[in-house]
Amino acid sequence: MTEQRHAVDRSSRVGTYILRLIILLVIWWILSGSHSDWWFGLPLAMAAAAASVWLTPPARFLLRPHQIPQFTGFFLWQSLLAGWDVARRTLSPSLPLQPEILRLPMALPPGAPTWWLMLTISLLPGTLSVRLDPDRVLEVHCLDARLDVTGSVRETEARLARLFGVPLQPTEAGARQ
Amino acid sequence: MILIELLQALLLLAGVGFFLVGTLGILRFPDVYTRVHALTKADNLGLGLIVFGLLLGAESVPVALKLLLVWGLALIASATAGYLVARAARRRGVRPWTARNWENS
Amino acid sequence: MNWLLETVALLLLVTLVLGLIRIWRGPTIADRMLAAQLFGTTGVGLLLVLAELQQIAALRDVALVLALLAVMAVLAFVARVWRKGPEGETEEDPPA
Repeated sequence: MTEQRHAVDRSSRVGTYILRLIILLVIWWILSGSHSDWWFGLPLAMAAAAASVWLTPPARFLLRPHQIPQFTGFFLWQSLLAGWDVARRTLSPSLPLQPEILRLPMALPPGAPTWWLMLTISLLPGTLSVRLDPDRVLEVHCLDARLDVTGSVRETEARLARLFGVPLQPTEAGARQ
Repeated sequence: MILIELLQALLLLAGVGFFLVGTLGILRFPDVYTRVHALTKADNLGLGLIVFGLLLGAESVPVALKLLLVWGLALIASATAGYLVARAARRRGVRPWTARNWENS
Repeated sequence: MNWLLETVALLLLVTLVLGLIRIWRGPTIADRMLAAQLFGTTGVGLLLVLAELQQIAALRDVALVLALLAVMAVLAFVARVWRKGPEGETEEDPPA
């Protein structure tokens, strides 16, 4: 639970500004289409990037670019499975549900990796983040307690740890009800 | 060319199918939590399939990227919204429906 | 191709109408809010299909804005209307 808060120096601010400026320019290009008005878009993106650096300090966790395709593939496949799972349950006349709330201790560091985990597992088959306790225990609502929910959350956690390049903290294994 | 159109038709129809399933899930599932499941999962997949279907016929790169941007935004939006609703329900003390309740009644 | 897009748009409208049943039946205000979120996602899909069908590129921008507004509605609802719970603990919030 160590807050690895780096001292934010000037150079990391400049780097963050340039990165966000590039992202915003790409978004402007997407939004305005093939005949972009750069005389308007460029100052706007520069101002927006400045405001974002001012409002949100540089991220402590950065995605590792070479891991992005792998994670995207995992995510798309799992969304497909999730949709299929819900469809199967909805269309079955007996409505096979056995919901339960599990409490899982978090192994990812606080901040962006934890948020990503909470958002991702809400889109995975049969799991939904409900609440994060102050002592870093995540309540997960699952559609069917007979599935290996703990296992799939742990797998997502490991993949996110690889995506962000952060270590997993050891936790007491398994769910505590 | 005809193959692409066929694939496009398949993706679009599958997408609508998942939208219908999501709505049906909202109507059939027993409590708030399970309905959030149905909504976030089925609708996001439905929108994704429609986006990929339209992507095959997109006329330019910015249009294709804009479709993907819309999907990504909708994914984040509905995952966040689903979490917020579930958390609010939990804080309010809404009890999750369980299979046992149903057997007893 | 157009008949297909028309069918898809029509079916999406049907899901919107079915979603109205959940708003009508409730039972809690959160269920009604979920239906509103459903309108957001379905509306986005509908707008994207209509943009292709009628060749109006601006509708894609409308879809983008609608996706943003739908989550704003849920956010405002959770923060303002449905906030008071039995326990007032503080916890980490997700990026919103």
